[in-house]
Amino acid sequence: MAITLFAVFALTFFLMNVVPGGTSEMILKHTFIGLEESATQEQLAQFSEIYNLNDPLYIQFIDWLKGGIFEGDLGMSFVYHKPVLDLLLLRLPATIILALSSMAIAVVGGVSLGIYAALKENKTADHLLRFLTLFGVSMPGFWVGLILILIFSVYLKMVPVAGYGSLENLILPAFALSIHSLASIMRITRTSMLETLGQDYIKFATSKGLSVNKIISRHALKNAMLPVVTVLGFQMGAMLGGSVIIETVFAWPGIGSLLVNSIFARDLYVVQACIIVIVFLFLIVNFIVDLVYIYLDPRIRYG
Amino acid sequence: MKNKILSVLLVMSILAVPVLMSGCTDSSQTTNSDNNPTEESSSEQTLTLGEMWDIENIDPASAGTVICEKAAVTETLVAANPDFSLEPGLAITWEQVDNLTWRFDLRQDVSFHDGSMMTAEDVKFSLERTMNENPRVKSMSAIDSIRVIDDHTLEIKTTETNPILAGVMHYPDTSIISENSLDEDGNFVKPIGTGPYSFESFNEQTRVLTVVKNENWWGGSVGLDKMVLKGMPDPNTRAMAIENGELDFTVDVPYSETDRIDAIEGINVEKYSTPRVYKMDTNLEDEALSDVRVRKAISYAINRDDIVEHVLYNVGSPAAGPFLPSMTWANKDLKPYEQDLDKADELLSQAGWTDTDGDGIRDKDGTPLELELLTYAARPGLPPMSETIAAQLKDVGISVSPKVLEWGAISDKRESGNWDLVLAAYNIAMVPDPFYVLNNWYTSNGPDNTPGYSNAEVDALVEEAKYIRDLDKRYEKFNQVEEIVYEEQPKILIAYYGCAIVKKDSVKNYVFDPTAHDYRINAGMYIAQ
Amino acid sequence: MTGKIFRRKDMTISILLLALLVVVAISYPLLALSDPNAIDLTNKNLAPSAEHPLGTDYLGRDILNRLAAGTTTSLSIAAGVSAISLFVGVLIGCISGYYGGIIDETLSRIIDIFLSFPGIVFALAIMGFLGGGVINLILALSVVHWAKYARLMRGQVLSIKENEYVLSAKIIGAGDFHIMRKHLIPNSVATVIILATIDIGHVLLSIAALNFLGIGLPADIPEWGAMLSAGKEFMRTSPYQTIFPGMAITMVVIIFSIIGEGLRDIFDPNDTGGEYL
Repeated sequence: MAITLFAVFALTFFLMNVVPGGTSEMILKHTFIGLEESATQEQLAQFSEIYNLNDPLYIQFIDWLKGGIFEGDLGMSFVYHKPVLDLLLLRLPATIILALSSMAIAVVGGVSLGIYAALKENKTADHLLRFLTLFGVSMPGFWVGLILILIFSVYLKMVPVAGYGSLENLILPAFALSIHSLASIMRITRTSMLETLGQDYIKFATSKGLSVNKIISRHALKNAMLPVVTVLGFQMGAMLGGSVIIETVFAWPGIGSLLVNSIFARDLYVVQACIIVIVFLFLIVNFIVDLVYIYLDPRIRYG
Repeated sequence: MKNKILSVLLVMSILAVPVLMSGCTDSSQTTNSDNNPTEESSSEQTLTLGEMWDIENIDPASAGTVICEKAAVTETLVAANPDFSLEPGLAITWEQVDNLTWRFDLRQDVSFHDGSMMTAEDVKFSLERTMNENPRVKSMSAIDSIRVIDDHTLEIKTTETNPILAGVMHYPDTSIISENSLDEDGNFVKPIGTGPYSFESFNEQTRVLTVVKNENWWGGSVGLDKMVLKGMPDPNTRAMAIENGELDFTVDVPYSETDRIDAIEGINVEKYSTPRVYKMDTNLEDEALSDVRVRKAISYAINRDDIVEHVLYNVGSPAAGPFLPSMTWANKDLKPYEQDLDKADELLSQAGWTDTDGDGIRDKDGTPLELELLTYAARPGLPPMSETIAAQLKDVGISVSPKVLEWGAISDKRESGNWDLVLAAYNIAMVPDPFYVLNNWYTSNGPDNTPGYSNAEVDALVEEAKYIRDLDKRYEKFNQVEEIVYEEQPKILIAYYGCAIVKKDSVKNYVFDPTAHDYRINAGMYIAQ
Repeated sequence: MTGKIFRRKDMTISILLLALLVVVAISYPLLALSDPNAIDLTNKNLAPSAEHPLGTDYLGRDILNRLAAGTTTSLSIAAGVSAISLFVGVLIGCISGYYGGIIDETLSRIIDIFLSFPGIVFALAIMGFLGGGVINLILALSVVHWAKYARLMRGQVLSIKENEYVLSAKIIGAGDFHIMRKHLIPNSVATVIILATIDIGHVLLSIAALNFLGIGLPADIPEWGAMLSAGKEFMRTSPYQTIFPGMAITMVVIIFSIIGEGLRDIFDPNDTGGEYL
């Protein structure tokens, strides 16, 4: 994990530093209203000085890494004139709220619809749900977001179009972000339930006369959940990636929209920090999934 | 056991939603009550404003447009009239004593929001601080040193003759703050200015800036009790927010919706030209574009009226010279190039570009007339304008491929010489004086002379004007420059930028200030009960 | 096997639709019926009508015409990405799995690193580095997509390299390259190709997302994501230019999902997703 993180740092740093449009010039553009006007050579030089951009790249990289690890100093944002760490702390809660709410919608919706579909196997409801999941995994997230805005904000005027700070603001982006995962979770739950329900011990329980509800809650569910948890970890990762786009569509002030804006503005240290935070969250999620997996399936512990 | 863990997991995820949501709601409650003027006591006037950029920074040395112009917390030494001529601000008079020395006399009745009086020391402090924080102002003003003569007189020495220094003092980043805006360690805390509104709070989480009435403003009475500024960078969001009643005032809803929103009862839209121009730079190193006939043909092929009507939805107007006709120094004889396909055809044929192979694209010596048009998306009018120009030029046999890149990538391509046409929207009155634009755009060494245009006459005229202190004589020289570049078209001017001010009918007494860098909130604005 | 495919209604329909799209994609630029970039400002933002079945966009361009032209863009970019990332993925996965030891360890680590980047973020950064354009878009997405094929390929090779025919080929002195080419790749590539087919949907979504965010292609190359992004500003007065491109993307992604999953079901009878229709 440490090596992966380091590689991510290094790759991001060097990628962002060799982009066209030299960093110091981009910084200068943004210190000024109107980004178009050119800077004079002396202005560029001054900026390079302020942000230590004159050192060779590898020195800049080492300095930055040292600052990040030992002092918690991730550098200054060129655009916002603020320490990057402050910016991240401001934006992180928004992303976490959005991701967790979406995940909650996806898990609750996906698992219950999946069980429902499995119980109604090959009936109309099952076919309909499966057809809908196909759409769920195939629609572009940003388009879903726009269509939701169109329906609920523009035509029905039920929720504000974008913004941050209230429950109303959260509904649309959380739903838009959850659709893809909801569909995937539903699909895997259905498959997994069907497989479990086909097992001998379930058939035995049925023949014993246990009620369907009891069979599901006592026996089938826990076994059917294993693959769901696996998918969950994967979906959480996908959601972090998806949040980049959904946050942009809904102007949600999280890490994702910060990242996109910073890429366009060439706000180097902010881009790096955002990518690192996203990768880090991604790795943490995978770690948690592994733990849950061990709890659910003790064989792994001994095996 | 496993069952329990599972149910805990499920229950947790179900619980997570309301818990998170309540967390969400808490932080918003303060802003929500601010949103609804109806809930406030009827005597208090609160205006909620949808600002066009995210508010990230409240230091006037770098975020002057927000703090000085939009929130009206700070003020500058020099103000300007709608025709861009200068007018007293915090300074009553100023004078260029000699080529390198300026003297400013300050108003004596001005106090800061913390009650202390504004003195020449505060002005010196603010300007020196801005020089340090903001390299752009530093280079525009070319200030060498500032000397306090007495409490209300200041002498500024410049490093070189700088005819625009007074104009620079109109720039919002030079606005004056009290030294108490900083803490003991010299870190900026909050802006303590002299303006009609004083800073109350800035919520970094929601990025909402709140300012309240300054009862003791030197300029007289102030219209509103409170103003809440919210950054809403997306035009669609601003449109919906004012329609749903969340805002009282905003700017630049999508241009295509200005007429529809204007028709809504209780909301009105006003369109103004602003000091910014859509222009297309030509690369004079390019063989085809180095020929003035080709450049003029391009200018004749473009239908500016169509662009203004259908792309900008009349938010803006066709452009002739680099300056708005309303500017006191503009050359008012120039008229925008009218679309004239015959003339374009004639000029191109004269220049040797004809369609010999019948593919619809002109060619010369076997090379087709193909150009790349670069632009960027940060200003919403640009990408559709580039596509329209490409289609219009195709009608006269010029193949143009429009590309939308980031501005950084465009700068890079220009520096390497690997470009033909760049469509951009440049400010034309960063400083209310024609010298800045004409010098930067058209003189041989101007920093924004991207075409690589060089005309000895232009260089000489601009240099001469630098030392003329009589404004009318100065402007005469500049008019001549405008005329020359109108004929030579190194930069093809398309349209003046527009601004759509959207406000509720109950918002009264708003006065648009064309000299502001986006828009300015005036002290007299109030809400009718 | 063909019989199996066409016994499934959903796959039959999807394959026919895909064939139709491919025909459109290939023939459209050749036919050059009408210029998809030709503007008609007085007829902008129109709702669907007989003359413009899907309406017109903000510059009066026919939406149907541009969607058809966009088929060429999207499908050729997706094909390019799949081809490059399959080639690289299969090659690296094969080398890693076959040689084992330090080579495997190094390559696996590299694969892991690429997999731990959220794809769209990574592609965004690479596009910033390379600049816009079709070729650069293909390269950026290939960099993002090759790793998962490599991982799958490596797993496949690990499981078949101990097979007798591989071992005997080694004993008779066949070269490594020969073994990979004749035995390892042919016997494991089917699984990877199925993954790639399902994945084309993801590639198409990534193309659209990157163009939606506004890095990528020149404005005179019609592309669905870019159309959608440009149209969103006119969403309230003329929603069709947002709705139809999104539907086009969804439809193509669905087609590839059905075909890919159908193929998987046929090859791997244990995993029964079942038909969609």
